[in-house]
Amino acid sequence: MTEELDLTQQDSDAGSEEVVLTPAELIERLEQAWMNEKFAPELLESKSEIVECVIEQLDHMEENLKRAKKGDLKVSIHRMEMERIRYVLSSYLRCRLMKIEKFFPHILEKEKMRPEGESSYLSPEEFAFAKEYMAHTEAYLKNVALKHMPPNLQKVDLLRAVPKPDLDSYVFLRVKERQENILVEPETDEQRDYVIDLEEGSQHLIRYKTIAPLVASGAIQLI
Amino acid sequence: MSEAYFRVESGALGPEENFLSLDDILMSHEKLPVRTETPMPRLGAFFLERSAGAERDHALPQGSKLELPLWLAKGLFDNKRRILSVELPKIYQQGWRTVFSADANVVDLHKMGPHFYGFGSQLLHFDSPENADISQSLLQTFIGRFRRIMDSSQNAYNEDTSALVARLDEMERGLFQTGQKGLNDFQCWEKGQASQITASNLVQNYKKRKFTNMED
Repeated sequence: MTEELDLTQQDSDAGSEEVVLTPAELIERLEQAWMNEKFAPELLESKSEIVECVIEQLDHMEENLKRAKKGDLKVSIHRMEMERIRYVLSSYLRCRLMKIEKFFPHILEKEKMRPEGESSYLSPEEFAFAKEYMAHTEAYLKNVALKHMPPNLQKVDLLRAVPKPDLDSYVFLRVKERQENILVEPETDEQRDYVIDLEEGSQHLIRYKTIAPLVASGAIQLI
Repeated sequence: MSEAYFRVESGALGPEENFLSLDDILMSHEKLPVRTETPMPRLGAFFLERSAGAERDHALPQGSKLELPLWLAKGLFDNKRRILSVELPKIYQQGWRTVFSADANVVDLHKMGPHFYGFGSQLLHFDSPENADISQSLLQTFIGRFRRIMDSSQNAYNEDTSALVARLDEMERGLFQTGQKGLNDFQCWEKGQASQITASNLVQNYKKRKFTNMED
């Protein structure tokens, strides 16, 4: 799309990093982040710089299309492409919101415990959403049920009540960079720990817990 | 992902049931035969048929057999076994285990306690010596029955499925429904109805409330 499109010539600046991405690479990164988010059982890091860049790009494309002459076919094809990108972007954000709603006490707890240097799992808007959601849920439970209970039962510990994300669930993955010496823990009592190497381009089905840090670093793509 | 409301799913098959899950609440309400190891003062009044020879203070004598729901038995069970000792229900014992290993498909799991898998998984908390066999038997039963469930759920489109679902327990019924939903969604997409905007199922229920109720 953007290779032949001579209406957009600029490269996008990836926010906090100094890397300059072509639009095609940006879209590919968005799709990868989208697929990772869809298949991971827990909330991944927030890629807000990609989101911002994509929104910028979409705005530019919209402006350019307005200026272009009414050559029907090209305009409608570009519009279709824009719709597709918009869908991927909103699906990505929706997936994140669904996970926030599902695991809100654990996510907020993780944010509180996070050491200063690491990047956040939540964008500022998502953080505000999570806090409000928690406040609303607590208020709702209190008004509907808890205030009618005897005084010593009026607390519900949401951290224990809400189920944790299941990190033991199995995920399909494709290896992008070769990895060595991944320690795989046993599933049953008869097996023992063993060590595997991941070849580039190979595909595996493995427990999420084993490869969670690799997903975060980008060496692995969930499919 | 396009649903408006995400229910809390059952955690019974994992290490611990989920506090907020309705399925788990229903599951843990099933009863379990239990024997008391210590006398329980003043509880004899609740179990009148057991304390037939009741003393003055209606104590429940040691060794009496009761049927308690799972949540109560779990709460009272202690590793040093001072209060309760749990007996396994019939379907998790050796006799039925051999039936399951012979052919798992013919058994009516709905009759055997509608929460066969969940209840069986939570039973493993009671440290019975047969735990390894029970877990193996649960797993093999599921493996034996799964293929038929998957087959029937993916190929029964727009028909009455009550005959197919009658002998499945609750967890298997959930699986069946997921399969049906996937099939229906796919057919919808093929017909091109996937891009039609329909009313959310949460909103569809609003009409049933009277207007006066909404003013509170």
